[in-house]
Amino acid sequence: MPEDKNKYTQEEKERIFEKEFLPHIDSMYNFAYRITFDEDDAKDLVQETYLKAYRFIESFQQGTNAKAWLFRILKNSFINDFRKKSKEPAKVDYQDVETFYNSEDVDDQRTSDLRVDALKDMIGDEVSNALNSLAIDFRTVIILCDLEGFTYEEMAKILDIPIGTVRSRLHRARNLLKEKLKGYAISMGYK
Amino acid sequence: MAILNTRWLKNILGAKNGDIIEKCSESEECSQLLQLVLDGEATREQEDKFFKHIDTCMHCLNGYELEKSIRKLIKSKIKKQTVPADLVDSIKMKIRQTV
Repeated sequence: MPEDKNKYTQEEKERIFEKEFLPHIDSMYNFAYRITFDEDDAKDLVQETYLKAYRFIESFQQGTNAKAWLFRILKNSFINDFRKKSKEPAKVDYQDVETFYNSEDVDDQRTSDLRVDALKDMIGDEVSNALNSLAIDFRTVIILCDLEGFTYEEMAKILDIPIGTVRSRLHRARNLLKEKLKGYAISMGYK
Repeated sequence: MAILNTRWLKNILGAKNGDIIEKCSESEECSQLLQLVLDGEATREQEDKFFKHIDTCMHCLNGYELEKSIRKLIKSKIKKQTVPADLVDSIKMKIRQTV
């Protein structure tokens, strides 16, 4: 699609930025914080994302999903510019991880003994720790799906992966999370 | 192997004698279906199939309840971070400098 360089007037740009982009700052900051684990890094990442969004505002179609568009920029900024500087450990090779879990078939047999009543006693810290302990690619899909409510299709666009990969990565992520929660349940005395 | 239901299972589910299994023979397919259903990504047909299945499959019913609880747990227990008060202003200022 040819890009019209002057698609929006200055006023329109400001309106889009104010009404369509800024309302998502809360979600953006929370996502940034959960992938960087650092308030300053999260702040920088969100700021960088919004500056890029403004710079490339001509490629945003009004009325389309601004939140997914912004999350995609944030995720790309994180991978391209940010990861190098941040404390986050080196990138996990998606393919390796997925092949491993596919071949091992982590699925529900191993985790089926975690019980609903054990979850009732879990506090926020345990749940946060369990989520935070997952490799970033697994953590990310759970955040996008469960906390931010993105659909598989939106997640595929944000992460630049096929929907089938979204589905399988999410499935692995949930099983890994269940394993962690089971660990806490056992440490609390549930069997 | 299918295990026949006990009285309490029958009471819980109001099922007819003998139609409850505790081990699911298609658990891999079911657990994939379960994800789609809970993530709101299942088609109407898949949903019907799944709910019909858990009427009689204790294993998958438990799995469904557990997965539902974990999603609820994540939504309710993960603490929300407050956006730093100066962030919006700082972004707007930087943008004004570039225009």
